[in-house]
Amino acid sequence: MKRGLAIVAGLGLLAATYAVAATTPTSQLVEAPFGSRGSLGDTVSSQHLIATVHEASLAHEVELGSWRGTTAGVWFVADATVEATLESKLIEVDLFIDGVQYGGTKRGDGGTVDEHTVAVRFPATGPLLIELPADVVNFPGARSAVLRISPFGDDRLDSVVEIVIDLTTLEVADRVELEPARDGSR
Amino acid sequence: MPAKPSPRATLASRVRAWLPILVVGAVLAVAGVVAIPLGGWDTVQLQSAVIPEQSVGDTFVGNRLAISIDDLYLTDDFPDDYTETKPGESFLVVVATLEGLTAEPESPISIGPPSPFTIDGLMNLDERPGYGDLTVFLKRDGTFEPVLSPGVPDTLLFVFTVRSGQFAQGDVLRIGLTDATPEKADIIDGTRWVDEHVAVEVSTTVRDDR
Repeated sequence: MKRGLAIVAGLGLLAATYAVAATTPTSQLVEAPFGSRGSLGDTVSSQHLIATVHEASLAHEVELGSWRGTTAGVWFVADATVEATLESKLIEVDLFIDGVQYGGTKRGDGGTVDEHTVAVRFPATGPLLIELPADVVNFPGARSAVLRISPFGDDRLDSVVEIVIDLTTLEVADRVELEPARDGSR
Repeated sequence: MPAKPSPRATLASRVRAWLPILVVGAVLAVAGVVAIPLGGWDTVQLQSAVIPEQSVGDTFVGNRLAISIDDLYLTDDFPDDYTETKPGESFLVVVATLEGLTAEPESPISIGPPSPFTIDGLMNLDERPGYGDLTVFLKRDGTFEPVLSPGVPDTLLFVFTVRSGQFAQGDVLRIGLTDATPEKADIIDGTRWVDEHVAVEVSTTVRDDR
């Protein structure tokens, strides 16, 4: 009887160990930034930034000033207005799909909003450009992609703006012409 | 009460117990004797140490990058169209198509992971080119030091500054495509790469495009 009880208790403790190991949050989850979430058209505030993503689309080619952006994938194109809340910030944009991070391109000759420093009460308005795989709309997470706008650098445990976007509903253009980012609101 | 085993039976059972070790020892002894007239085991190339080869244009899929070597040429024209060669210098350009396979943007040449490929005398696993000795451009629009989006392949130009005469048309260079194993980093946020090695080699002939 005692031996049977010991075996059952041992197996129970072993199962509990596996359960604890399997459910322990990863450091990625524990240190995740705090996202203030919204949708296209919403003005969303974080501790550092106030951002509005007015509209978004996909394009096979973009023209931004004198730069002609071609890609083997497809461009995520958004028009956004961003300003700082406490102090001037260099910003960073990333799109997350199925846990994969796609960063804002730095190929646009400085014409995108995320290559500008945004100041308090002096918003900057203009394009955001992110290069994505050609078949991205077929990805399982394409319906709930998250566009993160954050101060440049390590955003762990920091406050960020997040816009949830359904990529499958976006218009896909062969080519779009964009104006470089400028000071002011839309 | 069971009968006591005889000394003969005990010896036989002991030999049976040691039989596998005796067989292995005998095989090793024979192999050692046979190897002496053949030059010894030092002359044997381990199959596990043989690096497989692939052709120009074929894609190697590693843990961090998928990469193919597309072309290799000498030029005096820097891809930015305004940097000029200094006397006694030329440029060796490796044209390669890369695709990031991780869950984050990848810089082809960065501090943590191994270089995407090696070339003897120019870029090795433990010896990176010095500042100004290697510049990377995106072929499609000349972007300097491009970052690759995951799952979006693109062709890059790796431009090495070399001495005039260091390489010539027709030289065959062995370019080693590298790989490594990702691990969760302890101190920094992100990935550390261990077991860096050359996984595949590509024999590539230098063109002279000067």
